[in-house]
Order: sequence, then structure tokens, then C-alpha cells
Amino acid sequence: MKSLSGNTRDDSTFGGLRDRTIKSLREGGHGRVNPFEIKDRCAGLVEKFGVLNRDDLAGALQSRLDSLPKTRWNPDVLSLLLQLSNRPLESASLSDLDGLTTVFSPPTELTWEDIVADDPLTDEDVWGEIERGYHSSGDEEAFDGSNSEPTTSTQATSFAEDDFAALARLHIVKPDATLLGDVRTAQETLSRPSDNSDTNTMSELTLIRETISMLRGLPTYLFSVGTGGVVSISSNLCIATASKPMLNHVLSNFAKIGSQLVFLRHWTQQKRSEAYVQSIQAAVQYTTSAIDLNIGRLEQRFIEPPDSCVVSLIDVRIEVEDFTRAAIHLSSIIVANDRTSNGNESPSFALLDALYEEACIADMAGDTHLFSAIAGALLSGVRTYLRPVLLWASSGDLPKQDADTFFVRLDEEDCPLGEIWHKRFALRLQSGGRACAPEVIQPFIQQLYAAGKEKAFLKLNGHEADESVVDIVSLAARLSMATVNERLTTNSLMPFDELLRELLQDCFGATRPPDTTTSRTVMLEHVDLLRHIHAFDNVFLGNAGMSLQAFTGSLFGLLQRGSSSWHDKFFLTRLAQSTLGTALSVDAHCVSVSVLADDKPARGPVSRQLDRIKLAYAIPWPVQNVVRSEELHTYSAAFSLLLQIEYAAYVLRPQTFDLRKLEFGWRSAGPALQEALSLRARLIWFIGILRSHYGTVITTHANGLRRGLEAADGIDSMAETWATHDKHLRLCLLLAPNVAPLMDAVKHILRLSQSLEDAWPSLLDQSTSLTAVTRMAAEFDKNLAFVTAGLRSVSRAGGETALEALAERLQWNAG
Amino acid sequence: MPAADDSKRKAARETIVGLTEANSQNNPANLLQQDILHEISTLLNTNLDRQSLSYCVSLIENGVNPEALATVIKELRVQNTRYEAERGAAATEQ
Repeated sequence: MKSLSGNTRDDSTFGGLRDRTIKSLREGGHGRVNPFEIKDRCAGLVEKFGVLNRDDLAGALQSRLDSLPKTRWNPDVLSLLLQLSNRPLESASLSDLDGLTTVFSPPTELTWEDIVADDPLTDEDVWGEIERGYHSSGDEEAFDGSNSEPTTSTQATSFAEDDFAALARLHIVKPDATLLGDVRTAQETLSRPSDNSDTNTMSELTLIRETISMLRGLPTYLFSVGTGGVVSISSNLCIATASKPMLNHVLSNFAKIGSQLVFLRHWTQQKRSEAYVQSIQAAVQYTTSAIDLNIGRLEQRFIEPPDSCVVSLIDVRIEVEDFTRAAIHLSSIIVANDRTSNGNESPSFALLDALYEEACIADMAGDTHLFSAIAGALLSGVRTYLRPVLLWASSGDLPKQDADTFFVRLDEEDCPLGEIWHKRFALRLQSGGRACAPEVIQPFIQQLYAAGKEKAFLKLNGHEADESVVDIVSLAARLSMATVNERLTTNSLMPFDELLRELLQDCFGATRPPDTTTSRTVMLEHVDLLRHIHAFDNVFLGNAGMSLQAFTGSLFGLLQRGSSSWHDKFFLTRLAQSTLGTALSVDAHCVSVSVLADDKPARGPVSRQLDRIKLAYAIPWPVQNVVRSEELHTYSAAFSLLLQIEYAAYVLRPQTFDLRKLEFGWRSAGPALQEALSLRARLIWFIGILRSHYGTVITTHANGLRRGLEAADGIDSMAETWATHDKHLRLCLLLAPNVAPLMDAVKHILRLSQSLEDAWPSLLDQSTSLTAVTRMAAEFDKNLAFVTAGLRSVSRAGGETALEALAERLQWNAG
Repeated sequence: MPAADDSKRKAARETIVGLTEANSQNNPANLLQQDILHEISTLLNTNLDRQSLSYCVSLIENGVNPEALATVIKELRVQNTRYEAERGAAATEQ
């Protein structure tokens, strides 16, 4: 009243005012405050402030209303304030709030007056002298520290401290020995020797403790490990909560699991020489480590049991069987493999093959946990096995380690360069003809073998494989469970064997990047194989007619003159190099001629002398790997035949001029001469057909050979193409052993030219009888018929159309 | 018995006021509430100082109707205005 009205008690009007005030306050008739109405009015007021552009007031009011502690009187107080509000829009401002903050007053400091007021210094002892030596470090009385605890700061930082026990005491937490009392009691009971009639009743927890120790591989009283790592139950026990047969059954299950874990642990410790087996041992060891972790977690549950922990041997068995399932399966695979390979001396990848098969089965069965364990072990072994394989495929080098089990072996280390490709390396085969490699690698054996051979060949040829070095370790590392799972994520239906094959294909493909130099490239571009083939045709097969004519002209002249130098190989070589060596694509220095030794005198029939001449061409060693020989036997034989044909044509030619010298004219020639002329014509015809056949066969086969060599993808294909070409050429030119009689008949006909040429002078002066000429003609006809019939039968048997055509032509014109 | 009633009334009033003061002054929650209510009162331009506001809150907590209280406060302010005007006129005459 005083603050609002300004009246004090002393004023005369104060009493009346007070009474009126009290009366007004006591008056009824006022309704109860509606809290919802007050809330709405406050919200409406805030909104009004916002609408009338007083967002500051609206925000301040709303924030205060929100932070107002909730009491039951809030609506009433707010109602009062709303009724007393006086134009807040015009009059109120936020600066008014600043004047409401109270100044923080620090707490009053303690002063000496307060202390003295509380406890006056009237005590006589206050002003007495103090003993100054009480805290001095120079005090002569030694400080007795035996009763005091050593401090860490003093003890731990002393360097020359002799009492290490005291130091250790500070840092070691002494365990409570009484906690193990129950365990020791149980162990004493177990360790007591028991008869069959005497059964010990143990707690289930004790049995679980023993079981867990056995699974860890530790010695226990309940289980014993016999020979071969077989675990058996050694004590006669029973528990109060289960029957004896049931308990024995559960314990024997544990014993079986323990046996297999013991075997696995021993197997991983064995020393094995094969690198891939060592990798599998590491993978299996990882699996057993995971089992140990799981056993630890199981044990932890009993050491620090949660609020509700059930001690049940059956539960433990179910858990143990679950997390050891994969390891037990691995153990059974390894046991089976050891059993089959005992006493087997030949190298075997039976373990890898068994893991591969089991992984495929597990994948098909959809057992992801088992599949992960088995595939993990398999892939770790395959990764290690692949390293020497990738080394071979990328560089052509054989591995130094495990060379006895590698699928490629060094067959002839010192073989000639011309046989490097075919004889230096060979596949190592097992009994049964299968390559010595795991099953997963079998589909890629030929591809890998050829790839490695190619690299070795290129190295010898001076083309070091690849500017980009292939990272074998990272390539092999692509075969991992992470990659397998990634592939299965994108294609979950793909079988594991197909997926693995795909991964291996990618891996092997990476050893041959697209810009790799291949043997095909080297042979066709660097060695220039086709140029050498063309050179063979020019030298041996008479493709370069002018060169051949120059050679044969000189040679036949020497032979006819009876010059002794014709069988001088150096002379003949020089002659061949100066004539045949000038042909296109021919390296003259590679041409050489040799003369075979003959017991018969040097002056014999020229046709026989021609058989002794042997033409040779020095083939580069890379080309020798294609033609499979240092010499071209077929081509040499074809050249000999060519020489015979050319000589027969050579001796028959000049006789044309001799006819003009006849004084009486040929129409008045005798019957012998006429028969001789007829024979000569037929011989010339025969030679022409032979030449035509020769030229057609060589041209056709040469084109086919060129196309085949260009289309070949490697040296193996090229060698196969060449072998096919050589075989057909031999047959078509009648050089094969099975058609030797036909060749003899042909040569006999050709030698008739020589006989006719020898008899020609006597025919001209008509001193030769008709009988001799008739005999020659009869030989010609006989041999011709034989050749024709033989050609027909050979062409029908072999299907060679060239021989069929030759037989047809010989038959048409012979009649 | 007016004397006994007066003394009783006085004692009760003192007790109530004392309790209210004790509650309003010492309790931190109440202090916070008083601060916020004072700020709201300032924003609404009610012209109530902190002491007056605390008396009003106490009266309301003891059962006084807020509408009646608002009416009384308005009347007292009118009385104050008249009183101030009379004093001012008396001072001018002198």
C-alpha cells in the first residue's frame, strides 16, 4: 500500500484506505482464472508484438514465458500482470531489462579481524618460541622410515635401489589366493586315483573347467591324450544333475572334438618342405587361433558371470560344436589326405585337390561358414603355389624351390638352339598322363606352358620380356576371400569353381599385357620368317627361274665337258652363291653345295652324278624351331628332282638344230631315227607335264604355307603348319617313301633322255638299229603306264587332287 | 474480542509474511521465478517494482483473486495520483 499509494501509517487516510483495500480483496464475484485462456492471451500478445513489428518484445516475452518455472500460481500471476499491463507496445523496450540485472557481489573475504573475533590470541603458548629444527633436513636424528609406507616418488625414482622386491611390490597386484580354493579342492578330487567302482561326484562347473582346458590343449585330470593325439576320458565321474550314460556321451563328444583339435595343432607345427602346404598350415593355424579366442570368451563367461548365468555342460557342448565345426571338417580333410599320401613317393597335390572339392561342395550346400574356412585355406595354398607359376608365365624362368613338383621341367638343358622351343622344356607328368599340378590349374596347363616357353624363347632371341615388370606377389594376392566375396556379392549364383576359374584366368591374363611382344610378332617381324620361306622357294624349288637357269647351265656344261672341278664343293658353292644367291630374299652366304662321296668312278652317267649334288641353306636358329630341322630334306630332294628334270630338258634341246644339218632331210630318215624323234617328242612332252605339275604344286603349297604362317598364333602353330606343308609337298612331288617306286619310274623315264642323247650321233648316221630305239620307247611306255596307274591309286588313297590331275594329263596325252 | 482477534490476525499475518519472505528470498527456484516475473512485468509495462510484485505474488499464493487485486492496485494508484496532486498544490500555495 505504501509503495502504490504513497500513504504511510502516519497518514490519516491510511486506515480507511487499508480497510477499503481489504474489503475489495475479500469481495467475491470474481471468477476463477482459466489457465488456457491466460495461455491463449499470452500467445496472442506475442503474436501481436510480432505482427506490429516488435519482434524483439515478442522474442523476449516468449523466451521468458517458456523459461518460467511451472507452478500452480503461474496463470493467476500472469493474469494479474496482463490486467495491469499498460500499452507495452509504445512504452516497453528491451533496454529496461538491462536495469533489472543484479550485480554479482563476491563473497566477503576472511579478514584477521574475523579470525581474531572468532578466536582471540589470548593463549600464552601462541607467543612462545617454536622448535625450528622440527622440519630441518640437517637434523642429526635419523628419520625412522621402517614404519612408514614407501612412497612411489622416492622409491621409483631411485636408480641405485637394491630392493627390487619393494619396487615390484608397488606395481604388482597380489591376487587373492583364497579364490582358487574351490578349484584346488576339485583338482585334488580329480587327481585321486579311482577304481571302476568308485565314482567321484563333481560339479558341472568343474567338468566345464576341465573340458575348456582340454580344448585349449592343456593337460587335464579328466581327459588324457594318447598316441596319435587321441583324447579319451580318464576319470570315472558323475554329476548330480545328469545320468552317467548321458554324461559319458557328452564327454566323449568333447573328447572327439579335442582329438581333432590336437591333431590340427600338431599338424600345423609339422615341418613341411612344400611352400603351399606351409601356407595352408598358416591358414589352419589362424582357424585354431579363432577357436582359442572363442574358448576364451566362453571361459570369461564363467569367470565373470553376468547376473543370470546358467552353468550347463550341454550348452557348452552346443557352443563348442558350433565354433569348431569348420576346424573339425578341415581336420578330417587333412587326416584323409595324410592317410592316402603315406608311402606315396610321387609328388601330389592331393591336399589342395581335396580342399578344392570340399570348398565346392560347401558352396553348393550354402554353408557359408564352412565354405569360408575351407576356401580360405585353399586360397592361401593356391596363392603360394601360383607364385612360381606366374614367374614362369611372365619370365620363362623355372623356380629354384620346389622344382621337383613344378609342372614344367628342364628336359634338355644343352639342346641346340634350333630345338629350344620343342626340346628344352617338357611337361612333368604324373602316372596317368596328367600334368603334375593341382586340379584348379589343370585347365590352364597348356596355356601356361606355352606362355613360359615363349618368354624363354624371346629372352634367347634378345627380346627381354616386357618393359613393365609383372608384380607377381600382387597378382597372386588377388586370389583372396575378399575378392571371392566381392564377386559373390555381384553374382551370388555363380558356382565357386567357375568363379575361381575366372579369377585364375584374369590372373594369368595379367601376365601378358596387350602390348606384350609375342613369339608370333618376333618370328614374323623381327626374324622375318616369311622372307626365309620365300628364300627357300627361290633356292630349292626354282621359283627364281633365271637364277636356276644360270646355275644349271654352268653346272650341266661342266658335267658334259667332264671337268673334274664339278665335284669341288667350294667351286659349286661359289657357283650357287653367285647364281641362286642373287635371287630375291636369299642371303647368298647361307647357300652352300656339297657333293656326296661315291664309290663309282666320277665319270658315270650325268644323271647319277646329279644325285650326288646336295644343296643346303643355313637356316637361322629361330626358323629352325619352326621347320624342326637344320636341313630341309624335302626341299633338297625336290631340288635334286628339279635338277634331273632340267638336265633331261637340257640334253634334248640342242638336237633340234642337229636336224637341219641332215643332208637328206628328215622325211627320208630311217625308221630308227623316226622312232627316235617320236620318242624325243614324247620325252619333251613328259618333261613339260612334269615341270607344269612341279610349278603348280609349289605355287599352291607356297601360298597355303604363307597364309597358314601369318594366321598362326605361336611357334607351335607355325611348326604344325610347316609340318603339314612339308608332308603334302613330299607326297605331291613323289618324294615320300611310300611312292618311291613311282619316283624311280619317273627318274628312269628322265634318264631315257640321256640314253637318247648318247645314241643320237649314231642315229644321225643311221648306225643305230631300230630295235634299240624301240626298246627305249617300250621302256618309256611301260614306265609311263606304271606312273599313271600308281598316281591314280595314290591320289585315290591320299585324296591329293594334284596327283589326280597329273595322272589325268599323263593319261590324256599318252594315248 | 477484537484485541485477541487483532493479535491473532497480526501473528498470522507476520507468520505468513515471514514464510513468504523466507520462501521468496532464500529459495533459488523462487528467486529465478521472481526474476522472470519481474522481467515479464517490465515487458508488459505494469509499473510494478520487484518488492511490490513479490507482495502481489504472495497475496495470490494466499488465495487473493488476481482480478480483485488488479482492481485494488489500480484504485491505489489513482489514490496516489490524487494524493500527489494535492501535495503539489499545497506546496505551490505555500
